[in-house]
Amino acid sequence: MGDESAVSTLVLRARNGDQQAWDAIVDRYAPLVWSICRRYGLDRLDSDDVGQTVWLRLLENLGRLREPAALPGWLERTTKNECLRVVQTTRRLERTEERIKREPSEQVDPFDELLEQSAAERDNALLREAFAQLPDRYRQLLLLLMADPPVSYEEISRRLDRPIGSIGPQRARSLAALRKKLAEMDMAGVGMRTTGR
Amino acid sequence: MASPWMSESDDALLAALKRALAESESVPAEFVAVGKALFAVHSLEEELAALTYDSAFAAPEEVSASRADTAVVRLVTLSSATAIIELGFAEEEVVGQLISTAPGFCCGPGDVDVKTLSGHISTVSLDEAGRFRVRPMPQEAFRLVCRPLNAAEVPTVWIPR
Repeated sequence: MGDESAVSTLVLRARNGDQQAWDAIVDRYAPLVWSICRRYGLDRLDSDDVGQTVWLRLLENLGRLREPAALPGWLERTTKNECLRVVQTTRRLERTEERIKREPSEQVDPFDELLEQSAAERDNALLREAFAQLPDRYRQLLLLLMADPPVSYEEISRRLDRPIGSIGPQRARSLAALRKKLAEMDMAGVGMRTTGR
Repeated sequence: MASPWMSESDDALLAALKRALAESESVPAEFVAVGKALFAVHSLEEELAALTYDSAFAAPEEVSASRADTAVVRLVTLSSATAIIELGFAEEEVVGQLISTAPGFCCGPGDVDVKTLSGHISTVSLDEAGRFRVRPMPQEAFRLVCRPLNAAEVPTVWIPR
C-alpha cells in the first residue's frame, strides 16, 4: 500500500528521523490516548503524564514494531496500562478505597463500563484513521457535508468549484471510499472492532 | 468477518465520522504539542535497557506489604542484553545498582548520567559494586546512562515518575 498517509509509511519515516511524520502520528493518535485517559477519570496533570509516557514508549519501540499497521492497538494497550499504573498509585488507591467504603451500593465494576466505552474509542480512532487516508477531494467534501451549521449543496458547489449535480454522487463515492478503507483496515487487523452496534 | 461498517447507511456513517472528528477536536493543543516535542528529546539509535518490572503495576497488597518493611516505596527493574539495573524509590532519593549479566563481571566504578525530560542532566558516581544514589528525587520522567569505566554504556528507556 504505497499510501503516503498510511500508518506503516509514517512509522517508517519517523524511524528514519522525520519529525513531520512523527507529528502526523501524534496528531492522528493523540485523540485516542486522550479519550482513554478521560475514561479512566484521570485529571489533566495525570493525563499529561500518561500521554508523555505513551509517546516515549512509542519512540523507544518505533524500531521494534514488527507490524506498524497494528499501531492503534498497541497504543491503546500501552495507554490503558499507563492509566492503570497511575490509578494504582497510592494516593488514588486510598481515595478509591475510601469511596468504596462510603458508597457500598455503588459496587458496579467500573471496568465493565470501560470495556464498552473502549469499543467506541476504537471505532472513532478507526474512523479518523480511514478518513485521514482518503484523497483530499473526498475529505474536503465530507468536511463540508459535516459542517455545523450545515452548508447547502449550492454553497458546497461554489466553494469546491464543482457542479451542483455532482455533489450527491460524490458524497456517495466518498463514503464508499471511506467504507473501503475501513474494510481494508479491518482485514489488516488495525481495527479489532469487537462489538456490533 | 464482514465489516460492520458495510451495513451502516450513508447518513449513519457520516454522523459517526462527525462524532469521531469532534472527539479529536476536544484534545488540548498542549497535550498534542508535548507529544510532538518528545521526538527531539529522544535518540532513535541506541539500544536501551527496557523496563521489565515496576511495582507501581503490582497488586496493591504486595506493594503495601513491602512498604511496611522498608522506606522504599517503588521498585523498578530495567534490563538490557548485558546488564540489569535495579532501582528503589525512597521518599527523597532513588538508590540503584547496575548488575552485569556476564558472570564475574564487575559494573563499577564509573558514572551515571541522569537526564530529565526538560533537559536537565546531572551525574552521580557508580561505586565498585555498581551502586549509585540519585538525590534529590527527579520530579519528572528521567532516563539513566550508566557509564562503568571498564564496560559498555547502558542507557535506559524513560522511567515515568
